Amino acid sequence: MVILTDVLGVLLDVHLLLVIVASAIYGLVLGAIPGLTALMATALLVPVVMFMEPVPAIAAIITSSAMAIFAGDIPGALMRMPGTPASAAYTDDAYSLTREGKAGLSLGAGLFSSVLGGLLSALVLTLAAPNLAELALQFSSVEYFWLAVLGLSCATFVGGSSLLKGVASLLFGLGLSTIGMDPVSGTPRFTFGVTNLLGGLGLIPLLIGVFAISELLRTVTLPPTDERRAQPAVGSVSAGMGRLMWRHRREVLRGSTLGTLVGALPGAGADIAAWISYAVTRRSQKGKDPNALDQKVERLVSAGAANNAALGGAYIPATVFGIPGDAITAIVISVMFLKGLNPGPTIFLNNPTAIYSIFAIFFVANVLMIPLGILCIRTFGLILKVPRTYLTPIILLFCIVGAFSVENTLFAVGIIAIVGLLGYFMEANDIPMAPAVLGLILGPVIEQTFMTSMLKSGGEVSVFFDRPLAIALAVVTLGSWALAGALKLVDAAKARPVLT
Amino acid sequence: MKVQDVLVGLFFIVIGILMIDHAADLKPPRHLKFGPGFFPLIIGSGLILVGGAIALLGLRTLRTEPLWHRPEWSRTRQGWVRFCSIPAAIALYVLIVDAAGFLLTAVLVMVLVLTVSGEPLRRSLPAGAVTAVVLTAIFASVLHVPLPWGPLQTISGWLLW
Repeated sequence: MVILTDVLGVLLDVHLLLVIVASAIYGLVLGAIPGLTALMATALLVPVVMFMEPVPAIAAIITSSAMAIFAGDIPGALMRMPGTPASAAYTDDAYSLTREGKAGLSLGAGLFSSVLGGLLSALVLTLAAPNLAELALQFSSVEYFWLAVLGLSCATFVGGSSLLKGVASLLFGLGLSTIGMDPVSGTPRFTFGVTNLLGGLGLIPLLIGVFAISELLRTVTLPPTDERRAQPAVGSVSAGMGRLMWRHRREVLRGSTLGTLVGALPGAGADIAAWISYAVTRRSQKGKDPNALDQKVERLVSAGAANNAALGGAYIPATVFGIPGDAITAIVISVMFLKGLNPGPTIFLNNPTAIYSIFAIFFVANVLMIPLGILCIRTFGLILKVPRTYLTPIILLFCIVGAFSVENTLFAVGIIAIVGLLGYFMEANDIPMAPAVLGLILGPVIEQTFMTSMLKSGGEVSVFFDRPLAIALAVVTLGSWALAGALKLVDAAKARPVLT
Repeated sequence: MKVQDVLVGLFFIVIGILMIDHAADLKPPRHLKFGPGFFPLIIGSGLILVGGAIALLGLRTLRTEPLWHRPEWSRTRQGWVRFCSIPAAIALYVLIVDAAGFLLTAVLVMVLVLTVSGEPLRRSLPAGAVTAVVLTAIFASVLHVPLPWGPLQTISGWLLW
């Protein structure tokens, strides 16, 4: 009770509230600019928060990163340019809703599911932090390998109608992820002497190329009648959202739970959480039309809740054990150390007011997301009023500067053109792009954990099956692949004409 | 630009072969049992297998489907010009931005794409100038992205704060 009063006292501080509002606006603006990620928003904040008190410093990071992850949905839904990689999983669904004149529904569903996902993960963070962190700590490279492969299995479910083309796209993405220095020995691979390739193909330029440039290539070739049709207004963002969230409560809950769990695992961030949640929901829609409005919204709310919930989940190992769940919490941990808030089990004994205030800020930030998010959507929605002829080169310039701002090289700008053309041809040939993107994101994790496990065991494949947790994850992963293959065979058998 | 599945399969097979060929040259360091080529070797083999399966399935429709299906837009010269304007604008940016600076290059990119779409210069030029200034203000001033100024270095102080 004493702690609760102390926490309320901290939260009602005007200075803290001003910091939260300012960092919320900052996070929304940065997240909504394609190419600028929540991680970048956090990194850019570090020099500023160094001059703040400990709780406002962490509050600024929590608020701005949560806002940036949501704001990534806005350009994704309006221009098919995911603002952050965490929004990439459902960009196509969100954008297709916009094209159907339902931009308000798409953005509103994203906003409210983000808020609910964030609130639920904050609740879990506050109540069950130590227990969840203990489970995550039992993971070795083998369990991480299976978890990443399970993530890849999702690609088969998020892919298009052809399982083979989905797998080919996935392998292609994994192949692209091997460009650069080998994670174990540091040997350059597929770099052909190009220095810019040593660090690998940057994820953001690739996402910009795959999603935005390929879309621009399609829109410039559209006949004028289609151009006019593709400019609906945003519409109401909040109307009917309460009912919508209640109708899709299962998906929101699923996304929030998955997001919190995935976020709590060190190394797996909001983007992987969104992909997994998206795939699980897509799989649960078996037998329904994937292009139906309700199905699109289900996938959107599930993944939208997951990516924001992952943010809260990542703070579980960060605050309880001082192990970062992702790059953002790695920065948070260093800021906490610098501010004398040493993360670890003792923080709950030594500094309970500070740590519970940090947890409480998650609730405040997520509630604040509703009014500020709507304001941000309204401002950004004005873009739809610009004629598409003018919008195309403006988006193109945003893509160019976005790619350049992440990598600071013109090489990254060139990459968006090449990948954009590749994405265009892949889509034209019914090769789904989502598995390739997932392969790119998970490729380094899979290779690192696979090689570490193989080297540890001296080449014995049995290492992947010799721990109970590993066996459980292996059964789920291999089972999902077998199920996907079996379902495709059944579908093919059903589709075959019956000879009489 | 849709091609027959046999060609799609062959594309993946070729990528797989190239990966394996390159991976074969990557020798493991002396103290390690597996080297940097091991993972690409697995990926390359997978691509060959999956590409082969796609090509084999494609053989079933080889006689009924054309090898190459041109989209509607590619039947006119204007369609090609519009399609190529996007990669051409990016190439133009990469080639001249260091010398001409962001402001001038962004205006040129806008004018190029808008002209191809049929917009007159009297509209595309001011639209390009406004966009370039706004983007410079956002990225160079607020976010401190080091955009080049080129010959306009002397006026950089007007937009940087």
